[in-house]
Amino acid sequence: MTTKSNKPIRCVLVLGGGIAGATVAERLGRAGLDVQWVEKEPVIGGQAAAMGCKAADVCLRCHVCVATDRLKAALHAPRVRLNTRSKLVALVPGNNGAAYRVTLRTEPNIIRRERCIGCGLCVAVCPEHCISVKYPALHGGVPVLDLPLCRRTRDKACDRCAKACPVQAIDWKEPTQNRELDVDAVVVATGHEPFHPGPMGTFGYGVIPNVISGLDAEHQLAGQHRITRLSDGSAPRRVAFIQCVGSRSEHAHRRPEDTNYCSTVCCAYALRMARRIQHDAPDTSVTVFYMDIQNFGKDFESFFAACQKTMTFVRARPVEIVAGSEGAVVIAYEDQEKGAVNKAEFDLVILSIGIRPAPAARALADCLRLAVDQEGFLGIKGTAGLPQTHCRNIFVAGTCGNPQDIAATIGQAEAVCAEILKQA
Amino acid sequence: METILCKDLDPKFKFDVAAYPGGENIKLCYACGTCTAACPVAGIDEEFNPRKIIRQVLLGMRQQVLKSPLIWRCIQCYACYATCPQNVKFRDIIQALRAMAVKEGHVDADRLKDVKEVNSLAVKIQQNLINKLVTDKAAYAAQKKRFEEVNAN
Repeated sequence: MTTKSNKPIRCVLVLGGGIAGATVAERLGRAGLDVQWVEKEPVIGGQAAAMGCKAADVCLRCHVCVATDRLKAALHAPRVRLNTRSKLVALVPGNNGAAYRVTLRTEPNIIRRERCIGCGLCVAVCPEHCISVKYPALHGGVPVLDLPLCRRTRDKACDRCAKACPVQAIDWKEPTQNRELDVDAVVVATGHEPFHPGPMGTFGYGVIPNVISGLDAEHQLAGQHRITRLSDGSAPRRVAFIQCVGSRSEHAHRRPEDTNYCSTVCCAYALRMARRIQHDAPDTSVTVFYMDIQNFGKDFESFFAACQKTMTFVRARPVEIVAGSEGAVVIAYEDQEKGAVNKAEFDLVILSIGIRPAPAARALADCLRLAVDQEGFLGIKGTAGLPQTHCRNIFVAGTCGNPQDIAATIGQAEAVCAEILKQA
Repeated sequence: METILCKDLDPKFKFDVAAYPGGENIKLCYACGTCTAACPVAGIDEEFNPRKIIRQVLLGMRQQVLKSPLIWRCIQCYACYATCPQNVKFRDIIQALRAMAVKEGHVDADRLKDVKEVNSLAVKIQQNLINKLVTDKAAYAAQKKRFEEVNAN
């Protein structure tokens, strides 16, 4: 007799179009399962697709290229149905043997991907600059529309983009749809939110142009293959990295935007980025302000030793960053060798921001009846392996379960695939 | 470089401080130096270093810390308290250290009251100067010079 729980998994709902979701969708699609892949944005890509390669003279294993490959492979995988601008709104026990019946809400994409030829005319005519090309490495020149900025969402008549389009790819008439699906398993891979350093007012992010976040630097690397100053576009000669911005702060209990855990990725990406900067311009001085360098991996010891030869490591957490003359940035910190307050001038300061749970994670957890840990990440963490959910056939993969790097995310996604294929 | 001898250290000191109200979080410090960088006293006085005082307590340098005049130089402004990433509450630790110094007989009991008086006098001087600065610049310059002379002696 076949019991309900022994029914093989045939159809899987994958939530999230980042690297974890892409890995799961591609693997399961190729294994012959039906995959419903859901992404809230108009295009897949997540955080990693907007990051840049950090190879110096040799590959430094940041795995950004692997992430892009995974996303590309998933776009072309068989049996994968991609639902962009879609959200899961309800999940109830299924009937006809399926584990769950889910309701998806799909907002109109407006720019129809199947018609768009990527000519860029709509990008040029938009008066609000709300049409842009996102992740060109993944999607070519096909643009996306940032709906909250669009004039039409503010009850104003505007159809310049639609008039400019030579192939009628812009469709304002498509309605919002609710669809019900029967699925046998759900994979949650909704990712994280990068820490926004704005609330740490004393660091001047968003006020001083040459104070940027690590993610801004990643976007610069991806877009222009080098890191420049925002004030004048020049290459910086003196670069400072400040570690643990937003991570490892006991203020988390009274400033909810802070986090009290180690985000695990920042030391690695900052040092790789510093190597890349010094590889491009060997006379650039790099100073790293750190509390502890927390990193691991078999190559880390030798990598860190090589970094220490060309960079200055200052054990201090700066208290204030102010603007200096000619776009320079002045950092006030305690020089612990001398035991006195010191001020040092730099051309560019990069804040190594950490990983926070996505803002919608709690609502999603309520919808799926998942456990949330005290920091807001999904699932229950055991001593090893995947975050556990206690819900039959609901799996968690990637940074929505734990702050982790690209390699760990892909590994976890593969482990989820193995679990699912065991029951397929 | 200062040499510290293990035999002079009191390993119980940090627990005693942690047992005092306000001293609970002292063991959380990971010596990032934010407190010293933020401290207005450390900005003008190189001897006063909050990070160093915390380190001395954690190492157990009981006599050096409690006998030292440094713990009386804090102006209780909360800059360290607000910026510390570990919520160590150094301003409250100073209060605990002062209370311990009195209790263990390193200073007389009036010291707490006297320091309070000095702090209030300093604020009065500050307010006086600011009022002069706003109303009468010449009087401000004269007043400032007088205070600076007094301070130099």
